[in-house]
Amino acid sequence: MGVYIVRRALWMLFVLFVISVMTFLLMRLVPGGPFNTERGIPEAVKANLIARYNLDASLPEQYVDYMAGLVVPRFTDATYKRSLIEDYAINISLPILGEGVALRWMNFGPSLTNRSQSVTSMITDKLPVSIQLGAAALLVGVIIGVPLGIVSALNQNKFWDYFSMSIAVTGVSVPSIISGPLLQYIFGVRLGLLPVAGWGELNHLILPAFALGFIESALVARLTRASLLQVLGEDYIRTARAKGLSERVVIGFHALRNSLIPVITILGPLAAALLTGTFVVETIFGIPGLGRSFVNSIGNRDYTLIMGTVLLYALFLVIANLLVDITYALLDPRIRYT
Amino acid sequence: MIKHVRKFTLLVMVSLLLVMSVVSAQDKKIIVTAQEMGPDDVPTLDPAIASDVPSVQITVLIFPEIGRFNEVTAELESGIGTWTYNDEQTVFTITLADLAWVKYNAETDAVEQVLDAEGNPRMVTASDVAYSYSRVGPDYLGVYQAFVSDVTVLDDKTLEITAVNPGLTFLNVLGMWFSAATPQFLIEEVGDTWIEPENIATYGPFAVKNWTHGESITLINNPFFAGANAIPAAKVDEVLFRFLDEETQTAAFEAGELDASEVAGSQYERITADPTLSAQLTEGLGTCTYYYGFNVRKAPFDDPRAVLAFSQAIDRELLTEEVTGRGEIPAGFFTLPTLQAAPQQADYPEYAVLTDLEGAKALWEEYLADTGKTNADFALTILHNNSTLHANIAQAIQQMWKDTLGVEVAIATQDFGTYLDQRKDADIFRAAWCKDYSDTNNFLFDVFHSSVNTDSGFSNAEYDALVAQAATLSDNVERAALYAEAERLLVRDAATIAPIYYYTAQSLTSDRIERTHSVIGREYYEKWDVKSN
Repeated sequence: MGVYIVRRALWMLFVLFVISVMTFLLMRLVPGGPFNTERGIPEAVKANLIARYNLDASLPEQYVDYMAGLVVPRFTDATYKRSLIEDYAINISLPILGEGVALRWMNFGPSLTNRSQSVTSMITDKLPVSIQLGAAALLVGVIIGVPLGIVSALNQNKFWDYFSMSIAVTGVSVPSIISGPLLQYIFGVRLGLLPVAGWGELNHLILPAFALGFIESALVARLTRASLLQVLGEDYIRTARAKGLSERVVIGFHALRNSLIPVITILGPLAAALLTGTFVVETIFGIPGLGRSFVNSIGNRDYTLIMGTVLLYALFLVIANLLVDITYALLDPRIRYT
Repeated sequence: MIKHVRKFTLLVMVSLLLVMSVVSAQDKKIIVTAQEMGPDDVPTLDPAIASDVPSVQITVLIFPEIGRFNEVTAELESGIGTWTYNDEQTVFTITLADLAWVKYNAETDAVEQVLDAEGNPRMVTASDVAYSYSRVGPDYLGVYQAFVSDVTVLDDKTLEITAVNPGLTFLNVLGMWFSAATPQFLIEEVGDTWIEPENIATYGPFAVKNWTHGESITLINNPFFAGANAIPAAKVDEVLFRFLDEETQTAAFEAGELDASEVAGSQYERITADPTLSAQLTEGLGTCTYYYGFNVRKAPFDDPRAVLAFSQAIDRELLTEEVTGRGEIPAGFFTLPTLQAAPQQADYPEYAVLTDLEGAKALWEEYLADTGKTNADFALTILHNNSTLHANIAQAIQQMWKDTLGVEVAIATQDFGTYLDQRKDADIFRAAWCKDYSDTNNFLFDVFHSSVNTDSGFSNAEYDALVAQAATLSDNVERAALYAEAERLLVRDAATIAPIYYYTAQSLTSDRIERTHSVIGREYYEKWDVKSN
């Protein structure tokens, strides 16, 4: 298992490297640039901006400079002053080595279009928000989805099956761009129970978590149902029943545990999708998450922000997939990694 | 699982209780969304970098300008400074009001004066203003070309500014947001993070209390600002600006979460039909002109008759009623009618471009006959940036040109970055211009004078002479006459654009607020108040 994880980790690094090169090249191939505006700016100012952000260097140089800033840790002395250009995500102060000395790591660089925040501070500010929202939505998805799937499977082709599945289909079919404003209208405007938009208090989380989680719950429910139905037909279930185990133990312990493997499989990509795919919900509910920055960075040609967010999400995806693979081994004793 | 469900139910119930307890009256604190602030963030609080409506909105509240445009008449009044000028109208002498640098202290929850090394309060000096000008222009990152050629500090309160172009239109520069003081002592100490709430020092009616990037910014009353000329001290204690999508703003307003908000286009009809909401709605002319640019470098638009024919063939009334539907005003000139020295369509009916389907058809046929071309010789494309509104307008205009002129025009949609890049190569492109300051100079000189590279390729010596001359005059009637001639060239005789409509601006305001409505494009929240019951 240990060897397997190390090998996977090395592959992950390689994948991230490829993604970084591809992203860097692709974004520079797209027409337009970060300093184009409807007004147009004087050439002298544009030249200043290009020089300030190192965009006049050759592409390989720019790539190496950017990646070096991000990947290579640096020791700084007391003269270091945090600025938009030099802002590190990880700062460990090391007074043992001298006054003001610190080890700093991960400088995502300045945002080319937002002139008040570095990419590092955008990420450190907004990522926790996205994680909270994503986790809450995933929780809603699982809490609603798994029971729906179980009820449905245990009542195959009966009323409760059709009932649960029609809820699931509704969930899949109604995108958050519809359900979001609907929830706002019902619970915010009409009933006045929950805030329409905003962030910072627990009650701000509820509506967006449902708007996002409802869709996920539908996927989870359908998958749980299909998988549970398959497992219920297996020999070992018959054996468990033959042993005289109560139905509750048979379903809850033997069947459910095995039927969750496919569900776990999609939770990885689902978790990543929840972190990345929250643009609409963030917009509707006024949530300062990373999804908006991610999507907008592309339209704005904010090269550093594109790189920062893409790499971050790529990292999430590969880690989520690794975790899913490890979880398999825990759920199914037959799966062994060497 | 059941345990989880129980926990979750509990969570929901607790949060419901929280919401109910939070709802209480907050006096003298107002929560608003501001024009174009949208769901993202205010890009900067640095007046030397600001070039967008939201940034300018906030900076004028914390770093007010030397001159202040009146929110009703759009006339320039004295802001933090008063001025005199020499006979040649080249050198302007500014005298500053008494203003203190202040900073919000989160620990004491109060606005405090900034002290210098000796412990004396730091006052705003003439060199703080001179420093701002040194940060504008090509030497600095700011995106504004320098209007100022030289600045001399005479004493603590007085400075002399030499204008690049002589004339009283220079006074408009004093009313622009970058004609403010910026704290040199602070910027030199902390660098470009000086605008963060924990660092920033300001002097206007408001100070910065909090800035949650991407969510909100809170301004707090500055008790050390006693008012300066036309800028009064703030009446409210706090203004909280929220960054919300237009659609969400309307819902949040209806739920009582906002004291003032913008109006989403899709909600406009419903709001005007609703008796409660329509009473809270105010409408006025916006700050932008929507237009189509025609590439005059190549056929057919190298001939002004072709541009004029295409322009006259756009049924502006139909478009604003059926397609845009927010009470937009059909435009015959490029210049917004509310600007200083703006030529009015009613005064110069022959100069404006008006919808004239028959005339358009005749003109286009004349052009085809003269050049020996047919409609099939042209493969023209309208370029617009990705948006439902722009797409709808382009499709409507495409149909109008087909019906009236018989020309088939294609439509190309690009994302904003690509669109800007491709504009200069497009046959026809959609565009809008929004004012920076309330003078016609900002439309006719700043956009189409040949010293500016226009994407349509327009360059006309006669036009240049007209707008340059108008910039040096002080009589607005005389100026308007010159600008009318310039407009005639721009939209008719040497046509390069088809002005389509003037934007309108709508806002909703709750009944508890007493406010001013600005035609400037930014609100002066120091004049807003909460009604006493």
